[in-house]
Amino acid sequence: MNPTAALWTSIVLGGCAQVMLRKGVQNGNTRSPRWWMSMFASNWVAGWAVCFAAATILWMVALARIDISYAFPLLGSSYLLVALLSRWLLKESIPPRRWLAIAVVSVGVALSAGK
Amino acid sequence: MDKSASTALPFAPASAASKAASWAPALFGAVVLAGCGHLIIKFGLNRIRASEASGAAAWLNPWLFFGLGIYGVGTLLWIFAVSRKQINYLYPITALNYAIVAFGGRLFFQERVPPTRLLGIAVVIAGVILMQWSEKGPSSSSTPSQKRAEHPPLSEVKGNECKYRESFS
Repeated sequence: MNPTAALWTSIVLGGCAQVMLRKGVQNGNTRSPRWWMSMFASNWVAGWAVCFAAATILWMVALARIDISYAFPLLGSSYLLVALLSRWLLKESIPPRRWLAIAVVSVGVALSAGK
Repeated sequence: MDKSASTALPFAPASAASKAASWAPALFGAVVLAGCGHLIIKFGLNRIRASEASGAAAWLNPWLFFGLGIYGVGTLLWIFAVSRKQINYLYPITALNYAIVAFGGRLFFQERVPPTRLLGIAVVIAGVILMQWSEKGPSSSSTPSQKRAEHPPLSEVKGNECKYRESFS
């Protein structure tokens, strides 16, 4: 697989995974052990597990051929992706100040691969 | 789903007041344990590399499994936090992992942290502080139903039960 394609697929799958997890567990009764047992029967939570595992494998596939200083700046975009997906699919509200905070975190992660 | 099943889990605080904000310690635990998990896995992999053993025997390193276990506990705490707070708020905070891993790498593995990376970590920390600030702003008001899901009125929380939450389906 083309390493750049693997990297982007990993980022998109990783972002989708977190949004699916939120969809699957929001309003869950976390105080009930039975809820924890039945949680993985949810398609959304199963989707999270599969996408997260696939994203991790693709990330390693990509990093085997791509320099981390190229991969990390792209990884920064995952925070923006999760924000957009959560707003679009989960109707989560994002105040302006939080958009700023998300942008700052993204820049920070992009810089973290620096030499 | 049986709503009367209310046996408290160890990390689920009993008092109603702390319950509303219990995603915060769960998030903190998730970030710290994921970072520690990575560092312990690295320690295990270093041991495997240094050892004479080869093949499957080498991979049965207890540190490797301990690290994976710690990471797994961190994931459970993450699920707990996600169940109670918006993902667009929680997810960027997990970037603090890079700070923990860089600090641990320097402390335990004598890894060099280059200046640009140090700057990146400082920017991430600044972003997380801004995230806290975004909670306090006048524009941070979510819809009433979301507010309710995150901070239910105390009158709806009785004893050890959690009636305001819809059962999982």
